[in-house]
Amino acid sequence: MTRKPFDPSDQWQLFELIPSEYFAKQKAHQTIYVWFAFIAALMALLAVLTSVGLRKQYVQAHQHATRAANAISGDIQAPGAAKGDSLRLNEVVLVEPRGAANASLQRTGTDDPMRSVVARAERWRSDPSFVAMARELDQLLAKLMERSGTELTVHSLDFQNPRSWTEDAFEEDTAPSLVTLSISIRGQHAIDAWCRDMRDEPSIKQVEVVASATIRDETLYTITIVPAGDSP
Amino acid sequence: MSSTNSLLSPVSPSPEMPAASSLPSERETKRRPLAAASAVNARTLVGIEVGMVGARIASLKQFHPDVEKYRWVGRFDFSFPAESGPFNRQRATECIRTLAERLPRCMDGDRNEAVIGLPLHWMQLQTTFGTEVDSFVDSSEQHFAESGFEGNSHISYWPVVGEHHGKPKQEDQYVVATLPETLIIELVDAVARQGYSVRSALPTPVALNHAAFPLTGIDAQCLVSLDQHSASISVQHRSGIGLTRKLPSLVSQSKDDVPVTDSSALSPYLRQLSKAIRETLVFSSRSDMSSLSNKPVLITGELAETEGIESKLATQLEMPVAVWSLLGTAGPAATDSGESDEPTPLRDSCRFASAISLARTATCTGDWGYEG
Repeated sequence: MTRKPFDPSDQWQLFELIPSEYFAKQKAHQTIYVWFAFIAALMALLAVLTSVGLRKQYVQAHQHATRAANAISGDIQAPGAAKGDSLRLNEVVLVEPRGAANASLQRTGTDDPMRSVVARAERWRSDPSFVAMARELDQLLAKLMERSGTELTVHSLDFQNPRSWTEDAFEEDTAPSLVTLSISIRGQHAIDAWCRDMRDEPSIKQVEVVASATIRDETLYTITIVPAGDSP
Repeated sequence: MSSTNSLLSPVSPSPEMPAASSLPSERETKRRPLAAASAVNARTLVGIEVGMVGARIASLKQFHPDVEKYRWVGRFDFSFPAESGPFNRQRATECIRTLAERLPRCMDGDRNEAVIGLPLHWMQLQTTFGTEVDSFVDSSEQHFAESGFEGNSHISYWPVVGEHHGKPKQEDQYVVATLPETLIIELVDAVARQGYSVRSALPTPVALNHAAFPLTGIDAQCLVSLDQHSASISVQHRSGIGLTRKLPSLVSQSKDDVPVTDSSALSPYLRQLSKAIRETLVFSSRSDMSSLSNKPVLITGELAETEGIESKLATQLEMPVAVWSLLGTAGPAATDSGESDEPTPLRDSCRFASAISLARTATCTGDWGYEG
């Protein structure tokens, strides 16, 4: 590097022994540190916002599924049951991941004697078509769990009969004709394949995934199932 | 910013260093803890005087950011490993490493603004005309290269005659000090790594000269720094520092490193010294187109602590001689609490005059170093 010739007209005295280039470099470093700090703060803020957003999305999806289920399940009228009594299950129900063939739905942390869909359908046992559908569903859920090879969480399982929405229909002892299932499971492929299988079942007329939300590696599905032969 | 006691907790020497007590001039002077309640968001100003055989560190704390009144926080000194041969790259590296190892550690959160004073014997110092500065720098670079310092030299300069005779021009005489850039950057980095915010690095006589009047209240015609291994003079004129040069040192004359406690033992040296001082003052006054001043000659350094030295030197010089001492309560007060200032013993602060001056110089620094 060439040295600048001595010229006192620029600066007639200079005491400082630290070269100005050193100070310039220090200032440049400080600027970089400030930018790094700014970017780090920004990333932290984004992380917080993303986390909040994901949480909100999860909550919304769950609320949506619950609302969807509640909207059509509140009027389920079981044979011999009081008006408004429903079989809505808002508790989290787990399916055991191993021994899928024999697995049944269980409530978590409760001693509820209703161990399976079939058991929960005890009150509709008088209706053979409902019992058949419930048994079918139980087996299908076990199949889904077997297919996915992982844990299946059933958030809610609602039975309802759209025909009973009318006041008159409450008096009719008809089995539910629509099932709303809210489950979460890992893996899109498992639920797709399961829905295809469901559609092939003679007892099922229609299977539709009405809502889904993916939170990390788990997807929450809200599925409506229309049993065959008894649709409105 | 913390207002608690800040620094000057001495660091234990490294295994390869001699033990502190075994170093000949090693001494740790009294360190006074700062009363936390008395400091009002004060920053700590640290002066690091790198000497020929050791370093002296003094720290001041400002009472209030808006008031130029300081309290003496602490002082500390230590020796470099014993000198062997001429000053070169290896010696500089040794000194810098020792400095980094022995510097008092900073407390997290404290703001310690440091100014480093460099000894004249680390530099090439010459009084020359402005037209000859470039050739002097070239020869300095060649000399530094022979001593193992590669790269450019940084120059520091100021005119022998100040601005009071008009803006100095190319034809005027300048005091020019050159220093290898690599050396100064290595030193500053080493100090900065210990947590200090290095605000400036100056030739020690510059800081001593500029801070002399505010700290001592003595309007001197020149500052004479007298240590056993080095001595220098810097003339003060109406615009600031003027002619600055090295003086013969006691050790180089006597080849004896025994501490001097009796001024009569210094007589032969003082005779030689007074001759050099007088020649410098005559040269300076002639350049300044003025007669010899009647102002006192201000002496500092460890030899200035010797009882009676000022009267002996005054006799030799035929000029008044004053010993550097802090100006009452306006300067740093050597008290524990800072609430009741005790009088500072006359010669107590003399040895640390340069370090205290450097610390005070930290108030005159900006983004680009010393602002005069």
